[in-house]
Amino acid sequence: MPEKCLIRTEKLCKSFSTGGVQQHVIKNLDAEIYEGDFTVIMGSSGAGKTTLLYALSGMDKASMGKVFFGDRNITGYNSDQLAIFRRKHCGFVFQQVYLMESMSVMDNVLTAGLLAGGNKRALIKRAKELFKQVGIEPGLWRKFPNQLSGGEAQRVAIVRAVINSPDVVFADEPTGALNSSASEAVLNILTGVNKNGQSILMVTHDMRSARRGNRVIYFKDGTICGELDLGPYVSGDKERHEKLRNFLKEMGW
Amino acid sequence: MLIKLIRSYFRKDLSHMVTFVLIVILSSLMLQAGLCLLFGYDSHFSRLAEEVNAPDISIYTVVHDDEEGRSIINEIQRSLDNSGDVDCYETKCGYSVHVTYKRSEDSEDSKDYLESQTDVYVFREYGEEEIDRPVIIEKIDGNYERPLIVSYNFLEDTLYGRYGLGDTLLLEINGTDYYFTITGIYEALADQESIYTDEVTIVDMKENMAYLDYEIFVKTVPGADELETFKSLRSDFDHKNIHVGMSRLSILIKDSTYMIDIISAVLCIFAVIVALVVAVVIYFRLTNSIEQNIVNLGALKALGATGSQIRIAHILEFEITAGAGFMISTLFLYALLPRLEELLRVFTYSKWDCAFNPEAFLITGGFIMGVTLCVSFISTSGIKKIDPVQALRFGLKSHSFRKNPFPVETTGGPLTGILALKSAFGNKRQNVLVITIMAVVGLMISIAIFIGFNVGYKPMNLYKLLMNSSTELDLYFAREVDPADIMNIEGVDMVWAADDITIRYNGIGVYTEITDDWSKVPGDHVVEGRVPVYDNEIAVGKTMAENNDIRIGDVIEINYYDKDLPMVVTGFIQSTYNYGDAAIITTEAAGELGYKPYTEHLQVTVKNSDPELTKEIIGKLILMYGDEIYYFDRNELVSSGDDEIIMVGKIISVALVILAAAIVLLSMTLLVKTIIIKTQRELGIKKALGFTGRQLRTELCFSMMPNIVIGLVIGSVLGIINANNLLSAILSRLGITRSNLETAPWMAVMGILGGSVVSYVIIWFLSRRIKKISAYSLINE
Ligand SMILES: Nc1ncnc2c1ncn2[C@@H]1O[C@H](COP(=O)(O)OP(=O)(O)O)[C@@H](O)[C@H]1O
Ligand SMILES: [Mg+2]
Repeated sequence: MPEKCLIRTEKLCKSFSTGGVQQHVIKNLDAEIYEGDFTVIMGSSGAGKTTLLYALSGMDKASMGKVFFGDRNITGYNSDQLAIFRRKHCGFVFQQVYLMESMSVMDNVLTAGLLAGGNKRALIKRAKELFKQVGIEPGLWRKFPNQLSGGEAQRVAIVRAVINSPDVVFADEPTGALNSSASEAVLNILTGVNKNGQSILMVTHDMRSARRGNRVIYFKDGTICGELDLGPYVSGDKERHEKLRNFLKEMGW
Repeated sequence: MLIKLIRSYFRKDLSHMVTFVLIVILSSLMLQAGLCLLFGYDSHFSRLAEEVNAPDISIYTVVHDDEEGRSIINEIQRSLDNSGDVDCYETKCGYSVHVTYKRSEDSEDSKDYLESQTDVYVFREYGEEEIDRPVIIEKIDGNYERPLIVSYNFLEDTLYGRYGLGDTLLLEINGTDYYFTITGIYEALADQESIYTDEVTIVDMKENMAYLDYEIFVKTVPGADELETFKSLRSDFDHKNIHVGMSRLSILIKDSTYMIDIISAVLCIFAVIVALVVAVVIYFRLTNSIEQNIVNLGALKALGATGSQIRIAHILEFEITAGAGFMISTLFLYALLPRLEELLRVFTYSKWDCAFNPEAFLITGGFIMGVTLCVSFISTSGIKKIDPVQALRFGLKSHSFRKNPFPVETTGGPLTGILALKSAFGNKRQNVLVITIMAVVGLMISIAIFIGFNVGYKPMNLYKLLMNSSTELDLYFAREVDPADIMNIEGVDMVWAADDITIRYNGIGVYTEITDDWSKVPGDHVVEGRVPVYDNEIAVGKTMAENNDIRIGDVIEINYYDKDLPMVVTGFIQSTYNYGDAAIITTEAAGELGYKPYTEHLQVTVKNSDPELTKEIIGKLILMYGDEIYYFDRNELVSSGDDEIIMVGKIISVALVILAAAIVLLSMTLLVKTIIIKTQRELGIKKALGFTGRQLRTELCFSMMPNIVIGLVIGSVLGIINANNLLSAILSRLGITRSNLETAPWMAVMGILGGSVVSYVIIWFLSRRIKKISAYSLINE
């Protein structure tokens, strides 16, 4: 079954100039991300995974080349158009969580939902359901982010990312700052979200996390140098683990 | 260690320090300018008094060149010879001449203003004066036929500033044209109106003389009291029935400096108000920087810096900056002062050297540095409490949010509005800053509107206050007329006969207005008590009453030449005549004093003070009375804009608006920058979530508006309520004790609206940096 393309790049380039020196982080990249996939981007630290994620999500502008979201060319958007595009189609989860410190847990989630144009009553209902799904007790709803543990905060962040039912959730090392049990919980939620039909694009350099994806992309030297089809995630699948390990070894990880 | 700390603080706070320094410059510039003018002119006139050997008492009289004239002068001289307080005196005789201005062929248009006007000049020979000897301060060299040496007073008042040094003046005297050249400018204190010229011209002028103008300048013996001597001479002349003009040194100086006093009062008052902004800015900056740097401060403490070391570094940072600002403002001041001095000559008729004034310097410096020290000391008290372990471990988190105002969940309205409300009420310190500053701004704007309205739009209001008049039209008739005839003209509000005399109380001259029935004269005449009704009643100036401890109900002894009369004080008036030494009585009371008022002078008020209506009425009056009427339209005088006080009022009004705008701009720059830095992280997150730059800017503007409006409301309401009190205080030198200019709620409303709009625009402009920061780069901070 030919998968439907969600994000597609054409000769995408992204470079930074620091102190007069040009650093080409993404070089002439032609890539496709498919709808409904749990796509994992891997690569060594500093390879440009975050840069790629932000370029694909319209968080940052490309230096050259094109990014298509569906059949929209988002490369030509100005920053306000990109913002409006993001609030409607994308959800974000970051390694550092990035909840708004001045707002309660509930307000963090509702703000994102209202921004995308949701109805407040419906949003509150949905937020409560989602909180229940990810295990955020009602007692935490009116707390502030700094009163939560790291795992709790990241789960709230995921709720915030999916509250407006985005086409795709972008996650940049969402488990990077969490211990293993909190990581598992967070990954379970992402897997759940994916099962609901939403696409996920996750950057990680942790094998346990990468295992969750059905497609793994290895990013190196500014381009995709290999990819692996893992098939749907099944918990405790030894073979899947081996497959991934071999792939990464091949990539020189 | 300390120096390193201070240097690092400077580097980090640079842009805030620039804002701070600008506000310090504003405040200290105004304060030092105010004090410098006050002290500078005071010592200038003391010096001038010494230089010209100014008389302690001056006596002026105009007599005919005949036996009777000479005998009056002899009488005066005899009184002076007999007074034990008089050390010496000098009698100067000038020739009073009627002149008519003519347009010379080569004159410029601007000088035609004076064409065919007539005037009286007093010519004197420049010579050997001992007392009040004119000092020539500017002159042109060369030989000129009929040279004139004149004063600034003469140039400004008599020639309306239309002529200057080197100009020729064509005057027709007794049918003959004479060309005069202004060859010099002199300064003196007692006599600033005479013209000095050479012997040849004097001979010509003697021939054309209308009468003799005498000035007798008196020096008292050392230790004699100026006022007492003045009073005793005054009563001596009164009893001999000699009518002379008299003045004394302190009044002469007051005449030259009252406007300086008013200007410096305004400058000082607003300098102190701006200093409040300085204080709030320091407080805001320091407390914020401590909060933001709590980790660094903790680290410093952990490294062994004591709390007071860190504190002193912070205090010094602001003290050094304030000192620098103060020095810059001092440089500015002395660079600007010569220009200002030139403008002020309209009021002082004197050329001041603008010398450095150490008192003004020290007081201003002390004030600014003192305020900075106190506020920075208080604002840094938090440093003592920082515990290194706590700070390093938890940093900002120990200052976490506890309340969640306006939860998104339950608050109605658009998202941007809710978020704006949240942050509007989330930060107490920021609110204090905004409310205080905007209250200052509101105060300034509303007072500017108040002054602007009463001076610029309806200048009659100020004019009437200063001239103690409620009249639009003064009519002088060649014969007695029935006021009822004029009352019948359409548009006339009220008509009454008015006259004035100078009576004496306790030896001082009291300018006294007389009319039949004060209750019929429109306007507030008394600020306390009631108007005089019976022939033994008087209402006196409030200032005069305060100076002489007169209370309502007191019986005071009034003299008018050889007539003495005890009169009951029924109330207090306010008047700028004689700086408040003024009174009102009825025609009957004047009769008791042996004076029969003229009835040929009528005063008229016009409905709504309407200038057009006034002109119509004048037209009808001319039809009715033809040659027998001479009129004076005050509306025209006021609207011609020549009045200096009105000009100053307009300048003050505009300056206040500019000052207010500068304060909004400066303080909002500081505030918006701080807010953006403080909320940088959240702004980045919000951008990532999909907030547009425009949304975030709107949110920021809206979040500041509630406090801005609250501040503006407080300031504008206070301003409008106290505008008249403030004006009374500023004008108290003139004898105004209760200003009653128009105030209206719309002035406060205008202040609030104007202030809000200007602030919104400024904040919107300043917040443009939000647009520049991308979500990605912020998150990567
Ligand atoms: N805003 C930026 N300015 C300059 N260089 C940048 C910027 N963002 C990323 N880089 C550089 O791009 C490279 C890739 O960064 P990043 O995408 O964060 O790597 P990764 O997420 O794979 O660890 C790094 O060398 C980094 O220094
Ligand atoms: Mg990264």
